[in-house]
Amino acid sequence: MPGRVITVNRRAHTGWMERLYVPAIVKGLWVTSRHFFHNLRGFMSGKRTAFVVQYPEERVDYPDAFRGMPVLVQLANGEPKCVACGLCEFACPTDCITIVPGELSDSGIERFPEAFDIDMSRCMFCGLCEEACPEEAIVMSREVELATFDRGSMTFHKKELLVPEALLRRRLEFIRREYDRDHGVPARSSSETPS
Amino acid sequence: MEESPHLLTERQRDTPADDQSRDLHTEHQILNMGPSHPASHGTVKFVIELDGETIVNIDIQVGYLHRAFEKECESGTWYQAIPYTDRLNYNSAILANLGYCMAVEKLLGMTTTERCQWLRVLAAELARVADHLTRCGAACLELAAMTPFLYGIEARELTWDLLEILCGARVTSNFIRIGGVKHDMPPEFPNRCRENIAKIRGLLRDFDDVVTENRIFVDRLRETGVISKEDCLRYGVTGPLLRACGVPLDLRKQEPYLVYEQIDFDVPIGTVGDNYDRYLVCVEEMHQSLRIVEQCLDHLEKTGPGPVNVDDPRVRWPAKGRVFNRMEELIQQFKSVTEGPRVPAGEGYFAIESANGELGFYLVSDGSAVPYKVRCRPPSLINLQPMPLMVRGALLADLIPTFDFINMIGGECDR
Repeated sequence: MPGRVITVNRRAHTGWMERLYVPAIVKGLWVTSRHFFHNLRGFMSGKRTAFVVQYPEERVDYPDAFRGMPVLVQLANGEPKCVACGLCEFACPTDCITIVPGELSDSGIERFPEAFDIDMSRCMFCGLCEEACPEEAIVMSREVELATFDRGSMTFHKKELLVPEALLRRRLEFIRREYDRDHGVPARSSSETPS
Repeated sequence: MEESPHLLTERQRDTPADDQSRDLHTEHQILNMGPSHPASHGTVKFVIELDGETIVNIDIQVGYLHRAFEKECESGTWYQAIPYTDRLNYNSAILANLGYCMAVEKLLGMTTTERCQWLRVLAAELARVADHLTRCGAACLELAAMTPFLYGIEARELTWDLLEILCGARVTSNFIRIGGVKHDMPPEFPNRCRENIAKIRGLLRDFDDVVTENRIFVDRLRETGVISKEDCLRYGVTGPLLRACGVPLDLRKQEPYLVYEQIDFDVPIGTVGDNYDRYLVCVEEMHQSLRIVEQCLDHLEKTGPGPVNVDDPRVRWPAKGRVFNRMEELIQQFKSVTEGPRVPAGEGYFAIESANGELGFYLVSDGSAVPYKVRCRPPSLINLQPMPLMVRGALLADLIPTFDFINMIGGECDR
């Protein structure tokens, strides 16, 4: 196997250069002032080079894979896509999802969630619900600002969880791209939209 | 000047002259440090017996972050424990994911695909860099050097940016799956990764310029927290602490797992076993890890797309498109999610080289879909054991860098 064992370069004793403190101070000041002037130049020219972001005025763009709060996909008719099969309830390691299923008699879809609650104080953003869902009905949004003043309002009900499908386009495309694979090879088995 | 005898107490008269310093009625002071102390990262309490400023004895009390990780894993299926392993070490969640999943795969007798193995190595080495950056950065911070800490944390942010692109989360990655990884790397990842690696190398150079030869930093680290090779082996210490003592034990070389055999990297060792050696070993390991990441990227780009999950219906969830449209895959999805894989009865131990040392998982299965026992061998806890040996007789101030370079992570130590 390639590679070898190397011993780290450790000086046995400090020479007079180190004992003098001065070279280390000059070197340190050189590094810090280089960073300072680099960032100052960026600030003056308007092209910011500083690493920090002025939140909340500025925000970073999360990558496609980003997992925020799980939300329910809302169809054009205002109803959730969810059919209350309960797979996300099974998959959730922390049991933060509660579904009360209801039955419909007049439509092609037989079941719908009468109640769909997610206790966001327990959710750990693992995304297993999204991976388990056979209907593309629960997806991880890009929403992460969830602070509240009381514990009760950390439970999100169906009404608050519904997000129109159009707003979740990016995530749905990601799911179709990444999760639609036969053990890794892109399968593209479904050209038609899921029923 | 000779003191008159009547000024001495009876006890003082009976004590030999060179022992008289004891008779100033001094007694050892007990100092409680922690559980939440600004100079120690990690929730741990030290009860320190001090003679002046010298540490006579130290009692380390862990367990403040105990949250029943091992018991919690028994409450769900095998795959449901993966997000919990994210919470072991907040710097390198992927390494814990990897250890657990590979232990389960060992019980299942499963070999993962080649592309999956390269991806796993890539993610694991990025996590290792993040861990070492935190260790060195936080050590500088606690030695009152703010600037290198900020450079280290900036480099860690760059590493976490990469992990976010790859896994969808910065800290709690949840990326490794039993028999594979969650998904392949996104197309923009290799270029972003190369850009960020160049930036990380630049920051590491700055970090090095500011502290490595700075006399204040060197004086605080050199000859502090020394432990001998024999003591390390006796206590079962692993990782950079052991390598700093000069033992080239690295599980990536010793018992190569994944594709580490095909990768060219060096194992840095120290000579003395003090904090300075630990610092140098960690810095060198970061450079080696970045080398590994580059080799992984080259290989992944060269080989092109391929399967990242094993073709085994026990652990692989079917492709989403077919779940939406076909009955067989829908039924399989229901079975996979609700039951999870059934792991054959038996027990197994698998250890990987995490950033802190040997991170092992000892799993017992009774043949059902729920783990019977998940035991984690946390390197933090075991590396913390010989700490009294390292600091006994040292100054109180030496405790801080010693504890920093042990890098105890509360979540992993207390589980």
